[in-house]
Amino acid sequence: MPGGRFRNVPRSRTTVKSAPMKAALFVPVRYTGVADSGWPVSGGKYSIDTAEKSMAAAMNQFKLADEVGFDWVTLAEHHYSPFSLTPNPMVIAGAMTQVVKRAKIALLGANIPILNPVRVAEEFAMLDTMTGGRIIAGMLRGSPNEYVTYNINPAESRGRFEEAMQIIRMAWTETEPFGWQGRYYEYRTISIWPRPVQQPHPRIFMSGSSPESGEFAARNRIGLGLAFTNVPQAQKSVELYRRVAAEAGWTPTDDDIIYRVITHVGETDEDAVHAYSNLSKIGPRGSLTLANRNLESAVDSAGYYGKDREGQRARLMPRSMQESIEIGSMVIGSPETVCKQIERIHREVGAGIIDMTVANDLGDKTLRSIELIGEKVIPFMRTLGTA
Amino acid sequence: MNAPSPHIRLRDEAGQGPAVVILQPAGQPVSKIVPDLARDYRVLTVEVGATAASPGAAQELAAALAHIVPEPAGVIAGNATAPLALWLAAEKPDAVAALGLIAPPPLDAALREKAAAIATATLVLFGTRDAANPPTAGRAFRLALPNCQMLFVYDATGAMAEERPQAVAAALDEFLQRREKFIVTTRSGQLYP
Repeated sequence: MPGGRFRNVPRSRTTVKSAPMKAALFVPVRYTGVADSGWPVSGGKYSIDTAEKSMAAAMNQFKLADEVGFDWVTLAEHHYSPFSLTPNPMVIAGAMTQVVKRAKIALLGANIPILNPVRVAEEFAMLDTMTGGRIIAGMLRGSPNEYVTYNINPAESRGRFEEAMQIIRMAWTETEPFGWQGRYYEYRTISIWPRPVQQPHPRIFMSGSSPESGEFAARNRIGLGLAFTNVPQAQKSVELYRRVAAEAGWTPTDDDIIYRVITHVGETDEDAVHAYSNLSKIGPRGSLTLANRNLESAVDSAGYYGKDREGQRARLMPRSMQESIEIGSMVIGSPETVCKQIERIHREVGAGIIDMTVANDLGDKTLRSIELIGEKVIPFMRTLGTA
Repeated sequence: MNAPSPHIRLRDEAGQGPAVVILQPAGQPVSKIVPDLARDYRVLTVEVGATAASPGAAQELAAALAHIVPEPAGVIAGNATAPLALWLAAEKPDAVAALGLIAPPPLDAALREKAAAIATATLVLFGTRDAANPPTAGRAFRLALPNCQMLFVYDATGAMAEERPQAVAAALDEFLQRREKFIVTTRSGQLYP
């Protein structure tokens, strides 16, 4: 278990202090039974009973996270795969409003380019009302494979994303019915009910993994979310984000930056590593897009990746556990070890929100991991980021 | 145009069909929305002089238009001519079939007082990148005019007719034909028979 700084990573930035560091728990709501690999995944081996149990277990994990002190619980949108049973995260978020009583519920995302943006605005507003204003509105392009789901051209992803986000913001803030004459969207009248509790609207985060996205987030004062990333890659993304934000006249704080990282905590380093190693026998844990090389090639040739194509593809490549730990794409070990790893991410990247992708299919070990984070890691995180 | 006014001049005419009048200040090029509109309409680009918008100016404009457009016409106006177009609808409602106002300036006190009586179907268009007349300015028109629809044109400024002519023309074309009914689409969603 590495205990020092990341290899070859300079300590290059002065942290902009803000609120205490936040802990988020991302439960992918993984199907815990046997399934084929690839993408899309056949439903031939699908078990209704297993799916029901998988979702129930995830709800318990969210509930526990709320009870042990996580600041946020987070969801994602993925389709056609046992990797995640939340093709519409709004639906499970609706159920979570009844069991998660304190933590904010962050939907990271909605994949807005493949959805109806007015519907997204309505659903976020519903959830914000049901939680009394505890919704974080993530808006993402989604992983490239998701464009196949609803037959959307991935080459138009960025244009659709930027326009959809403006529609959603306008739907939240404009009180008179209005129409929209866009490039990809056309509406003759929009006037949503209910409306957001948080004014003018819930906090928005978007993925900043590509340079284009990071620049857009900075220009539009949107929070930055980094997932499937590592410390060197995230450092570059955050540096660009801060630079463009400065040009746009504002200074992001650590609280504007989410770093999502695969996480498992055990009583000891050995317990944690042993438990997590067994997961590789259960099912795919890597990029959904790379699970289908023909699809990945087609998406690539459509121009999805943008100007940092090589970097974007490289960060999706599978790595060994040891290498993942060393570059900061995984934190694993005892609470003490994980505290050190998180401190390094905070120091090197300047991220104020650590979104821990829990290994959610380890039964009691998953629950104990969440408890240990609540008991020993979160109190340590509270000491980071304070002025 | 044989108009009885030194301030008003027919600049351009294109297409056939129901009449649409585009009001613009003297000396500007013909709008880029004209070719698309001319597929469905007889589009008359009319230059108006620098006279201030007022009931009198509207009467003068109505008299001039009567020479070339005997029937009620759709009227499209930009930022500079929108107040005059509103006065025309107020003073001569029978001459105006519908109004399309592109990035109109805020209503002045006189027009605010008159607005509730302007029953003409009106579409106000605001560009999402327009700093001078932002989309939030549309709310005042919605609230003041009894028959007003508000449309935001994405990624456009007040010069939306030149920046995104197809998008602007498509909205105006449909609105001028169907007026209030334009909020219900008639476009088929069927992909294949």
